[in-house]
Amino acid sequence: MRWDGHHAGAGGMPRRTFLLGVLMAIAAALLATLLPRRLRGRDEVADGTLPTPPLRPLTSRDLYGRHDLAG
Amino acid sequence: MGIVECTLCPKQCRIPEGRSGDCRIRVNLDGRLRASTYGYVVAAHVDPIEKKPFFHFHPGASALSIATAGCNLHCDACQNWEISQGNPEEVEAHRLLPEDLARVAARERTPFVAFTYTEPIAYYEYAYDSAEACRSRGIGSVLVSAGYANDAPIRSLFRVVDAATIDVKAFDDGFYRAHCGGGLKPVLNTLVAAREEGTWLEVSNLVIPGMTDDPGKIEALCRWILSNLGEDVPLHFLRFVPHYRLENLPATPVQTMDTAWKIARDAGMRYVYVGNVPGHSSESTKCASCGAVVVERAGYRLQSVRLADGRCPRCGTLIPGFFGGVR
Repeated sequence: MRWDGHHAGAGGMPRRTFLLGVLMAIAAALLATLLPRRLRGRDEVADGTLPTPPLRPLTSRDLYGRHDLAG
Repeated sequence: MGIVECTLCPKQCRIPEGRSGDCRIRVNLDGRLRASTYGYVVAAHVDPIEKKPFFHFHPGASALSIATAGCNLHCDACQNWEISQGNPEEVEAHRLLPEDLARVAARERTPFVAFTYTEPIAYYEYAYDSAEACRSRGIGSVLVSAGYANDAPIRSLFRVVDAATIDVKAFDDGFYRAHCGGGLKPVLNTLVAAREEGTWLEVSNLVIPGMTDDPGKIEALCRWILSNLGEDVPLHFLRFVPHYRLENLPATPVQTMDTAWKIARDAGMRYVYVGNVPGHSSESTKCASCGAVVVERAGYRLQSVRLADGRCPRCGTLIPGFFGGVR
């Protein structure tokens, strides 16, 4: 079959198709970067329950020890 | 089931099932919005209320200061980024339901609980319920927030807390978008809402060299406060020290902090402070009329309160704020 562009090589795709593919890949990568994080989301619920952090008891060292948190 | 829209902050995240919003806290679980950090406190510390900062609200009082993980902003200069930007399930926590928190505050005899360190708006339900639980035990609560919230929820929260310090990152919407993942306008709305709801309000502003130290922007912030909140709102300029994504920057020169202080005073702000500069001449409260020191501090430590019924003992000027003793 004869495409209207130049062949990239024996058995290769036409140059125009190749360039179009490259451009589409770049556009898709850019779009993914620009897409707000809130639409991409983050998998949170693996088994239908809310994730819980590792726990430890509150001690007087927590309440009165040195810390470097602002605010 | 399906997508749930969170209406707490201006991001209005549309959250697919099983995923969180931008704050990493608010999760769509079976089609219902849930706050995953409710009752999971990642920091709890008894601080002087001056550290929040509050300089005109019960000087010398202690505040049981707490936070859960997560934040709805992502500031390049965040000092507490390990807990504010971490995934909630990965940050070690204490299990404290609101009534537990009130009980700890009562046991430690702190007259206030402070919702601080990360962003109380992101852990809104926990802060709200805890404020109510504390109030029922005669314990007050204060909010330390960036103020990036929608109008209705923030007004409701102001009605259950006693005071708020709102941090204006910069009087520059472009800065908010480029370096915080937010916007300026909702923050200004929050400041007005605090005033209208009768919540005691103080304002802070982090001065970052080359980013938020533009004298024109600082003056514009002061002019806006004067026009919309009044000259008596305490304004705290906080010195930047290198953190998180801005570790390449130097600490703010003290001279720059002095310039910010002078701009605010020249604009007409009456109570202006410089924070994170121990020993700075502005860390004590001076009567705006006669210059007498009325609340003396050394860093965050209260040295003395020299007020008579809330007035300057030398000239009788009423100093705005709450200076009554608390247990």
